[in-house]
Amino acid sequence: MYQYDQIDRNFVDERVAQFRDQIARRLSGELTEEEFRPLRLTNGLYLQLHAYMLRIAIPYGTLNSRQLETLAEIARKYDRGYGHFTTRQNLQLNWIRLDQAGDALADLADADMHALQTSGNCIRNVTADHWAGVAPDEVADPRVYAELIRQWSSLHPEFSYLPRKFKIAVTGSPADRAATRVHDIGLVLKRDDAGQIGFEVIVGGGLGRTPMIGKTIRDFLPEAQLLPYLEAILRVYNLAGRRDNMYKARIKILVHEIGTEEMSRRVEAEFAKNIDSVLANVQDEVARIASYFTKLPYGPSDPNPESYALRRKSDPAFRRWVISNTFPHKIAGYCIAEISLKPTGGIPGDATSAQMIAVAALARQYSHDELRVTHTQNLVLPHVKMSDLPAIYDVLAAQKLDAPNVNKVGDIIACPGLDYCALANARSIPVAQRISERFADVDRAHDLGEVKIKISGCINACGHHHVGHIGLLGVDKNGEEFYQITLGGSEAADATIGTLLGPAISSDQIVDTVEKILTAYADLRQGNERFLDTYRRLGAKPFKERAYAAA
Amino acid sequence: MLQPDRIYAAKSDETLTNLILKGGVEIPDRFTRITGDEPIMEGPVIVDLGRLDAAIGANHPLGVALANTDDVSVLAPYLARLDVVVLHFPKFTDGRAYSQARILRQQFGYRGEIRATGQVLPDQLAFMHRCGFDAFVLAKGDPVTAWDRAMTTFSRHYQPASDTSVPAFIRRRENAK
Amino acid sequence: MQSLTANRLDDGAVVYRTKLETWSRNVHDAAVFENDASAALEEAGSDVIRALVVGVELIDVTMTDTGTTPVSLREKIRAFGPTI
Repeated sequence: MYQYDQIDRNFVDERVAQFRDQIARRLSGELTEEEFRPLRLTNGLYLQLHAYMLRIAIPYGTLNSRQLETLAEIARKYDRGYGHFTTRQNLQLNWIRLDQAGDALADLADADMHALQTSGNCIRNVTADHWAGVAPDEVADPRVYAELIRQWSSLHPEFSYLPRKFKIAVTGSPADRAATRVHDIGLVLKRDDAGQIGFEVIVGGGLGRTPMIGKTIRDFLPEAQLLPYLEAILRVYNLAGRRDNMYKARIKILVHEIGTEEMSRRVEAEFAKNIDSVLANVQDEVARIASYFTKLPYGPSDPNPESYALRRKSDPAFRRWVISNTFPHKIAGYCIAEISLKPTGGIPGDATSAQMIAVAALARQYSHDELRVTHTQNLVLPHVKMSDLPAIYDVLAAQKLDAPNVNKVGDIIACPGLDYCALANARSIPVAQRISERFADVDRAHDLGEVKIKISGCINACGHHHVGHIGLLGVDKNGEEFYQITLGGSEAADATIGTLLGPAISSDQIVDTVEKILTAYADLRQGNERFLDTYRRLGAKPFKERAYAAA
Repeated sequence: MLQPDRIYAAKSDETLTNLILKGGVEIPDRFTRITGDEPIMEGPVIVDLGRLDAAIGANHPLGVALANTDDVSVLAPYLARLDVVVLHFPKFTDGRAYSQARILRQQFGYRGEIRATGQVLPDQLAFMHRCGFDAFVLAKGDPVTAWDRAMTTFSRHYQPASDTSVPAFIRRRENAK
Repeated sequence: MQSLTANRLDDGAVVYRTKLETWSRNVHDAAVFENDASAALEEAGSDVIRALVVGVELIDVTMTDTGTTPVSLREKIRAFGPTI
């Protein structure tokens, strides 16, 4: 993975010093809250319901063991000994003091990390496929370009006060695991007929109040032109994006209002003016970054070692975990092991400092010192020998991190909701907890197969409910929590915005209703259909009838 | 409730004819800002975009003030004659003028003064400078202190912009040689 | 009935305006305004300018045996912590 050089280290250190000075000026009253707010937000610091919340960037979801240990230590030292992994591959700490935020960021910088641009109306932490570099179907490693974008976008002087936040995702595979079609810019790596690397450029996707699937404005952008092209998009957006209404300020609204063709025309016109920019001459930098993402020294590994085969035969719990939580690796004898942060009844995405330290040790011993954070709020050991799976599983079980439910009904995405978030209208976490308890039976959950439930506590959609197979949106009805249900959403290459099923359901009834929908699926499915397939074949009607049928 | 925008706007109008921050020091502004229907006087003046044609013939230093919604490319035929382009930040969070400045420097090769007015605050000075602004009417704070801080906080930047700093990737390329 | 709440600037903690015009971490200490609270709101605003608190706002409250208690779920969560 990428290693900081002295330039990168100086940059994060200088950034910490700058923010310390800004905090001091805020505490002295020299800076007003209005002046300070954008400054703290671009350092990842929110003021939430209970305290300040620090959102730490995990660029493109990749980190090493030492970095995860640092996160654990920061959570212990400055917070309450746990953290919350988010849908944007970040880590949030919920109980930070403003007067200690500088110290926390300094500790982070010591581990080559930062919280830069995890909030604010700027280019946010860039995300990528969590299987980057190990997926068998990969065209090229998206992290090389994500790192290039991370550096280019860091304190970009022109694009630090955009109309609204701006999210970029990169995927290296046709099977989109980075949700590129619901980002402000989605980049899909591909090769042209001559075998040259480039990108499909998708613009104007997003969730929130007005969910939109992004539009392709360039089928193939050659690799070398990536940054000048991004500058062109950002410049068009910075000048023309709406600033009169924050709910209409995202680039998706601009694309929607002027049309995809006009957006494409404006971007291409701006791009043509900058095509000779020095930013088009970054081949050496791409090569330098790529040198950190070269193939790891994988030793030979038996695809079906005896220790693994025996355990699989004798231990049903292990077998179920392997079936749901491990995935094929590009190298034979290795697998990708996903660690579910969704124990039955747990808080989706939460990990204690002790758990983080245990997982870091696993990564160091068994996964080339490398980890990933998924946008589904789980962790990944990306380079695991099959023969090491029993040992890994035993450690995970001891840490209560062995939930065998990846992509299953219990693998719920949930935003922090009203328990933590100042924007929320309803709670998300307790609903996720109750659903996961209802479907605690592992055999039943495995029988239901792939079901992606996503829960947001308000219309801002941090829980990605629009693209859940089953999406729940918390709303406030006269002081009571209700939940709207959308069905049929997908964030994958077949990205789809879910359809509202009917009237919102009370908090008391919502778990029963989700169960009715899934029971209907179990009754109606044909062959190996997933929930989403059955929904697409039959439409909403049978699900609606069952969901709203009198008990 | 404080209304910072109004306070900043009032202050900038008042100080425009007095001192500006340029080259790291405060200097007297030799230009007179002509607003509305005021007669265009002799001597260095800054006029609104709509009166540029009326002012262009006179034989004295000339500047123009744009709104951040104006398309800067309309200045193309005038740029060789202009000494100052004033770009405005109605709020410090409205970043359109950053792009306006960059287009002037990068695409039109404009070499004259680009002056920032409006809610120009110390903590955004570095961004403005990197986008090509070289004169500032600060709305708050001590300009020289703000300038020193803006110029010394970061030793290197990642991306090329409209200043003279060498971006990280070019420095690395040179180091590798 | 209403009370005044804010977050303390230095640590972000939830605080309530007391009868003594101080800020308390305990919602039960919150002063209750039966009628027009705008004067108290303005008064509390001086602590915003002094960089002591941020986000001063009025919330609906009731009186219980233990003291002042917020009405809305959001304010209950702010007062008593996450429900999970």
